[in-house]
Amino acid sequence: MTELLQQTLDGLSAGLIYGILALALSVVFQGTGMLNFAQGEMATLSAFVTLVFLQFGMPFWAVLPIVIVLSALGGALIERTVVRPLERSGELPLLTLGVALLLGINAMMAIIWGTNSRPFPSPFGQGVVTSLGLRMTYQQLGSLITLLAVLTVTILVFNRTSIGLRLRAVAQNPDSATLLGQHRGKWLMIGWGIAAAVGAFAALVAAPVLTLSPGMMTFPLLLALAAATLGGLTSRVGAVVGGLIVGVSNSLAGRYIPGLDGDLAIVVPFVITAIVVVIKPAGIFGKARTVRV
Amino acid sequence: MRHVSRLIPRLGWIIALGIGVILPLLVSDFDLLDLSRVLTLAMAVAGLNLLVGHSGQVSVGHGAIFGLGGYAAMIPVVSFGWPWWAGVLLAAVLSLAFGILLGIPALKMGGANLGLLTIAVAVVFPLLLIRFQPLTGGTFGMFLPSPAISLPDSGFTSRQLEFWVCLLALAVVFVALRNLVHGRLGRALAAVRTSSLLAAANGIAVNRVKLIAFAVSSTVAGVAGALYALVVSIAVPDSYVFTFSIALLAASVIGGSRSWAGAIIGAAIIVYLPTLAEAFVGGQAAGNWSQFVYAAGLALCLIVAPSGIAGAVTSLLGRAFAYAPMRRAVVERSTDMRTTSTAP
Repeated sequence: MTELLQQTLDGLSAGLIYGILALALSVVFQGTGMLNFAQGEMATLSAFVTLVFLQFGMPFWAVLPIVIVLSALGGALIERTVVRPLERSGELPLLTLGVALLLGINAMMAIIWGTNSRPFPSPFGQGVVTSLGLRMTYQQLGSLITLLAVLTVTILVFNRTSIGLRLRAVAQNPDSATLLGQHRGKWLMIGWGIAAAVGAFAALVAAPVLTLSPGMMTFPLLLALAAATLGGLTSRVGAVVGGLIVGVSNSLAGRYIPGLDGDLAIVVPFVITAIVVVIKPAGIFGKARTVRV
Repeated sequence: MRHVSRLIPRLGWIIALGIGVILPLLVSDFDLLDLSRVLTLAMAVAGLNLLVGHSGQVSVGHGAIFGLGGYAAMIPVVSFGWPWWAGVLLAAVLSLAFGILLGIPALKMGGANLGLLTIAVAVVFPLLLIRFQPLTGGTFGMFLPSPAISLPDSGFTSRQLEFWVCLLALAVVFVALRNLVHGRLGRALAAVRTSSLLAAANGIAVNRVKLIAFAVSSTVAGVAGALYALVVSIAVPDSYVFTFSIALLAASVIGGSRSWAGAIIGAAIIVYLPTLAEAFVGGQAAGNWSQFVYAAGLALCLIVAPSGIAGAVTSLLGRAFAYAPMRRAVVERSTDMRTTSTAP
């Protein structure tokens, strides 16, 4: 029983990473209508930049705000330079652009920093908390708190501020929003910035565990894609809930289903996602899109 | 006038085929290996073109299907001593079945889910290969001790024969795909690509048409993969990783996803770009640099030349010879309508 709980707990803390990444995916998808396959590589790039600052001897907590701001600027820059020209050209070119970004950023990181994994210092230090027979490393506990904070802030920004209101307006009805004086491109750019910043947190808490390499976020991104689809791409809460489901099912399948240990456990979250989507195509929390002909 | 403009591309293809037939007699065996690789990859990219360019779907997992075909041919040939063509046939059957199995749930889900599902397949496939070691040889893969395609008494080397086999296969695939696209299914696909709602309203079974396109595309990729593996005599999990799937997609878009000549251009880029990059930067960095060039080329094509290199060249030629491609397309479509029953 304790072991089951422990596996669930591990799954939840990994799931929160997928959830945060899925949140970033959902922010971009809702605004631009693009499944950003490059979200993971963008996040990894943020982690590499952090490592560069750390090597200059700066303390982690001083680097963090700088990197988050840089990530947001980077995300906005990508939107402005390569996404904007394709903004209205439909789903397929945008999907392909995501693939191009994934490939390009991955190659760039491999050229600059090489493909070997590097250790990434944990900002929360070494140590283990034990309670009721369950154990959590400081790293796990710290990331849990950080990600919950990021989640709360993002949801507050979207639901309680005028920035969030404008972002949602532009996402839901670009034409009306434009008529009301909201520049669509500007708000999409801000949306991309927010997504990149949110995604950066996912990479920063994942890097100490996974060790830093250009391909670090490939699997988390894949699971985040499943999570976002499962929870509903149009729902921010759905993305996070989806992430938790994916994380727990991945962790439990790896432990309890024979033959699915290691990397192969990834099959289970995808099967769950497929089943959910067949029953409810828009995902658990998603709203089905209606089209007027 | 119209007849001349329609003859030029046909003449071009005939000349290209003629050059292809005599090429093995002129070029060294070493170069022939790369050229055969181009032909087989062009086949896979052409299959992807049917999907991306003509039916408006996207697959990020064709590298895995290519690999499935490769292993489906290599395992019986290497482990059970089948003749090579039987291996290719098995690859065709398996990849067709796989395409249907993957396509049905993906289409039921709709939207971008085919992309999502194929991405999952692309990532899981190499892991499965390593997992099923007794059958697939694990990390070290399958290795052909001697060339599978050979005629000992003919005086031709295996490399020459392989090239001719690949050329024949590519020609058959091109003609088949071209006829498919110009026929009833092609018009249905064009309707679905433009607006699936309108297509459905006009009585086209949207999901069925999409599924056929995916299944055909998957079969072509599987056969291409089988020939590729037989030509290079080796199949290892590392050849079929996620980035290879992306490279195929990139080749389709960069070459021109609505052009069959574009498939050859795209395939040539896949084969020769790493070699070219090696000449400039050398060693291990070459792979990364060529990956970077793919990405930049892909993004650039999407923004600047959405119809790819072949599309851009065609429209430039069109302008140079001063016949309007737009008008020609309209004329062609109207003649198609009139002459469907009498067309050869």
